[in-house]
This record gives sequence, C-alpha cells and structure tokens, in this order.
Amino acid sequence: MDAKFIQRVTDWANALDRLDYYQILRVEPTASREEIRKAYHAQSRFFHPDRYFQLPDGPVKQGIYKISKRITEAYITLRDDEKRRHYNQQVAASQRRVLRYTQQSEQEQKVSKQQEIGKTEAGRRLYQQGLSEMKRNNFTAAERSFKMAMAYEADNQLYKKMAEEAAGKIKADYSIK
Amino acid sequence: MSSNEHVLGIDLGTSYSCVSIVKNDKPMVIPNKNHERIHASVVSFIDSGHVLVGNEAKRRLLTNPKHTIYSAKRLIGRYIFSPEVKKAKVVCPYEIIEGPNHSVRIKAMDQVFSLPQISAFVLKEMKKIALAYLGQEISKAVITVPAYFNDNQRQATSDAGKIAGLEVLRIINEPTAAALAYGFGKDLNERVAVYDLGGGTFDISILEIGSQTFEVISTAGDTYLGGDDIDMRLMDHFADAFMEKYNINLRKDITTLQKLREAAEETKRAFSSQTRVHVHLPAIAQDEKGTPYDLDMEIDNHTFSQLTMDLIQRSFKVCDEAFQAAGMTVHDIHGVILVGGPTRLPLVRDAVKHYFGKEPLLGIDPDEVVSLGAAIQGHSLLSTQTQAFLLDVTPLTLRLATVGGYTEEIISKNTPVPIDRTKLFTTSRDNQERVKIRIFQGESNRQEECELLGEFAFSGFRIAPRGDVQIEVTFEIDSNGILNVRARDPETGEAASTTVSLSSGLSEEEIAYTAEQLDEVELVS
Repeated sequence: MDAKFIQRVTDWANALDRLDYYQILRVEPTASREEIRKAYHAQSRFFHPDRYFQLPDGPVKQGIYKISKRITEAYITLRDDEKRRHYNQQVAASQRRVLRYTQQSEQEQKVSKQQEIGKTEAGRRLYQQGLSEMKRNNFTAAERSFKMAMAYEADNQLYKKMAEEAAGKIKADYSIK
Repeated sequence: MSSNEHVLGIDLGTSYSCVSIVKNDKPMVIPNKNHERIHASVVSFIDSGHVLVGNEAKRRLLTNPKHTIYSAKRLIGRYIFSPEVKKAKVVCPYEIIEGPNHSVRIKAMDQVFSLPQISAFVLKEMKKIALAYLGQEISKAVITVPAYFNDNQRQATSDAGKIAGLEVLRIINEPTAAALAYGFGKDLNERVAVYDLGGGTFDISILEIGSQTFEVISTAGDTYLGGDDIDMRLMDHFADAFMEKYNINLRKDITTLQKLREAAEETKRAFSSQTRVHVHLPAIAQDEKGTPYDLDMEIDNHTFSQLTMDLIQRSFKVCDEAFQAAGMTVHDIHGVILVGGPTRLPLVRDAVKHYFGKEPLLGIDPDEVVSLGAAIQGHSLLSTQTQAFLLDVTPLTLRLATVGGYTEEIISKNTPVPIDRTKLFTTSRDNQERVKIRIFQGESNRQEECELLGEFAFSGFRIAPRGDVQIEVTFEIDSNGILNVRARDPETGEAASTTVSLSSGLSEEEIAYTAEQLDEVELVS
C-alpha cells in the first residue's frame, strides 16, 4: 500500500460529492450502456472492497468502501434508460448542485405531479372538474371551469390550453337541443 | 499471504456439506478420514455431552430419530409461524419448539438449541475434518448460502459460524460461488446461468463473467423447493401404495417413516443411473395379528417423472423470473452450470436442456463446486494479488413500514451490492415524539405479505406538527449482503442505527455464551 495509492483513495473519497455519475464511472455523458457496464467492471476491479480486505480498519478502508458504494449507485442509475434520463434532468435543473440520483418517495412524486398541474388548490380542483365535464361532453361547463381555474392562476398554460380546447369543441358541436 | 494461512470454503447444505481449501494455488475438497468428500448435515445427540455429526449421524436417523436433527437449514432464520416450520413440525421426528420472540428452537436430550447452534455443530465438524487432514487448525472461513436467503437467514448462518468459533470472512451466494469455481483463472467473457437445485432450496443466477469480474445480473429462487421434496413425493407414493395393498398406514410410526425416507432417498439416487428401481423393505409393518408385510415394488422412469415433474417445472417459472429481471432470454446464455445433487438426475438434466436449449456444461461436480468457489473467494481475500471480484446482488426488495400497514421500497431486488439508499420520511401525527423504524423484505407493498427483519425506535427529532419533521432513513447492504439501517434527523443531527437482526436472533453476548455452551459438547467420531 503505497503513499500514492492512499492519496488517490483519499482524494476520490473526498471528491465524491462533487462528481457526477459519469465522472465516478469515468465515462463520457454520451456513453452507451455497454460502455457503462465495462466502466463499472473496470472501476470495481480497482475499488472492490475485497481487494482491500486485509487493510486495517480505518479511513482508507472506509474511503474505499464509500467509493465502491457510489460506483454501484452510479451504475444502477446509468444502466437504466429511464433513471438516466431523470438523472440528467435533475443534474441540469439543479445546475449541478444535485449530483446524486434521489428517487423521490411515492408521496413526493404525487405532490410534484400535482404541482405540475397548478400552484393553487382551487385551481387544481376546478381543472379536475373541467376534465370530468369534458368527459361528459358538457363543453360549456368545462370551458367555464377552466376559465375559473385561470382566475386563480392567470399564467397557467395547461388551464389556458384546456379552456381553448373546450371552446373549440363548443364551436364544433352542431347537435340540436 | 503467508503460505500456511488457509481459509475454509464451506458449503453448508440442507442435506450435505462440503469443505475445501486452496492449496498450492489449486482449490481442493478436503476428505474426511473415511475418504468421504461430502458429509450429511445431520447432528445426532448421543447424550448430553456428546454429539455425532455427518454421515455417521445420518445412520442414526433410524435408531435415534428423536435426537437426530437433519435439514436444519430449512428452519434457520425463520419464525415459528412460517409455513416451512409448520410443515417440519408435522414431518420431523425431532422436537421443534418455540423460543423467545417467535423464534424456533430444537429440543434434544433435554437440551434446547437454537438453529444457529445446530448448524454450528456441522461447521465444527468441517473444521475438524480440515484439522485432521492438514494437521493445523483453521479458523477463517467463507460460508455459502442460497442466493435467495433473506437477511434473517444470512444473519443466522453468520451467527452459526461465530458459534462454531470461525471467523467468517464472507457469506457468499451458492450460485455465485459455483460460477467463480467454474470461471476462475480462465479469462472468460461469457454469460452463464447457474441452475442450483439443492436439498432444500432452488436458486437461479444469471452472471456475466468478464476478465476477473463475476457480475450477477439477476437472481431468483424458491427456498421451499429441493431434493427433499422429491423424496417426500416418493415417500407418499410408497405409503399410498402400501395403504392400497394392505390397508396399513405406514405414516403412523416414526421409525417406519424414517425407513421410508431412507428408501425414498436411495430410490431417487438410483434414478441418476437407472431407469427402473426396485424398492424392497422387508417386514416394514404388521397387521393386528402380527403378520409381517414387505414393501416390495418397482418404480419406472415414467412414474418417477409423473411424481416429480411439477416440482421441476416450478423451478423453470423461477428461471423465467430471473430472465425477465435481467432483460434477457435463454438465447443470451452461453452456458448452464448445474449445481446440487438432484441435478444428477437425467430427469432434471433433460428438463434443463430442454428449457435452455443447450447441453449443461460438463466437468463440474454439482456437489463440490460451491465449496470450491467459497475456498477460492477466501483465498482471494487474503491474497494481495486478487484475481476475482464478485459483483453480487440483493435477492429481495428491502422496505420500510409506513402508515396503514403499507411499506415503501428502499432497495429493489437485483440491486448490486454494496450499496446505500436514503429516503426522506416524516411523522404521521402532530407532536409525535418518536417513530418506529420497521424493516421488511419482500415483493409486496403490504406489510403482512413481507418478512419482518427487525425494528427500532428513533427519537430526538424536533417535536412539530405532522409532516413538518424530516427523518432521513438510510439502508445499507454491505459486502456480505447484510443490511444496516440508520435513521437521522438532518436538522438536529440526531441519529440511531442498527445492524438489522431478527428480533428473535442472537445478540453478541448470546453468541459468545452459546459458543461456550457448545464447547462443552464434544464431537465424537
């Protein structure tokens, strides 16, 4: 165990939180799945805890263990296309402040889905009401609901789009009463 | 590595165990003084101070059924209310009783033993065999477990090692060990499936073997399927036929049942090389007048196949699962490694050949390959020139209990290890002072359909309205596949953690105590 190696491990362990998964696996952001797998194997060969089994317990061994767990984490995120896409978005959206993939809890996912719809509870409620009126072909009522939702959130593009869609349906409705 | 430092590779099987070492850079099975290479995982209590282990002990199943413990692996790490334990209580002649916290205990010769203690006797025997062969005591070991063993079962196996006075360097998965023994030093680049039908459990693992790396892509299993089940089918067949012919129930008497079990196992083995087996048990029962009757019958291949085909087919459902998880089909596989005694049966080999569309790999001993792999792994750990790196996965999804009897997934099955995953949770009631962290393992989001691994209370976070406090829960699976859980309040920094152990498991003190207790019981030979 030479000093150079110890330095390398220490540097890596300390830098982990500043590295994205591509940097951890030492691959290009455009790497194919096969390249990612190869990189996982290569990095594992170097940082596998079994390789350092005989090291005394201490900061170096802990550092290696920490790195090997992060290598696994990078691999399971990047080998899955869906997760990889999410991760890329997350890194970009946070301007590289968030570099670890956190799968939001189901609860949070539900909340974030709601928040994608609208910021206010009243707006979201009216929007849902409008959708069910659309389903019943009650386009006049639907248009009213979407417009009322817009009263709460004037700049909500989703509400606006649906209000327009309902208005379009009214125009296209030639049935007699 | 100093030349005289060895590590035992122990395959602790349901029916048989095997011990190996690496000597002069070659893995080898250590035979006992009778030149036997595999040893029955049977523990027979002679009196309170003496116990017999191995093939000799197995012979005592007939003469001393109440105090001769077999298939303990089927019970290790399980709760008393689990289906497997209930089944064992019906069919096993030895006494199975309830211990603290729904654990299982075995009573023999007026002494009560935990399952890790029973397995420790087998491990001690392996140690003894190595000592006799090498003339030196070896206390380091790598022990294998079925890939589909849950955390409780792994912990209990590791405890057994400690009780036996072994330093358990690693607990590794049986199919992974087999792949290691197959691919070690060959510089392969291929995908293999390991079909492991043991005495009590079935595992399938799909591996990608690269230069020095053995990556498990997926694993699946059934801890209720093995050669024992084939024996049971044959026993039932014998007993039913006898009932029909003489109207005598052979299932009533323990000794008769043991004779049937023995005959069933012999019949099964005979089918490895024969297509027709003659079973003859003279004077196995008598009628009320005392007239003795023989069990005398012939079974052909066709009947044997009919009796057991559904068991074999069940294994392929599990294989389907593994392939699905790997995102592969049988065509992606270059070779199939067969592990476990029952894979010697032409019936099994043919079915495997049919399923995978290719001949299984030759030249691999299905009884010894796992122990050889364990020895290689042990040797690698102590070597500075390690040439094999296992990249294994966790077989079952790990979950945290949430309100309303539900669970939330923290680490999904087939995730490579070591790994840690963190999720944020919150309180469910206003001004809640503590939370119970309950850990489950299984594939359902309902708590009652999963196995409870353990629980601990966490407090010390800010008292606040519900939903206002954050609790960070981290699950970590270490290189032995064993789970550690931490809870932390990111605001106060207050933290609590535990190595998850079965609530009925053994504490360090208990392990130390039972190890001492075991030392008072002598292994005889």
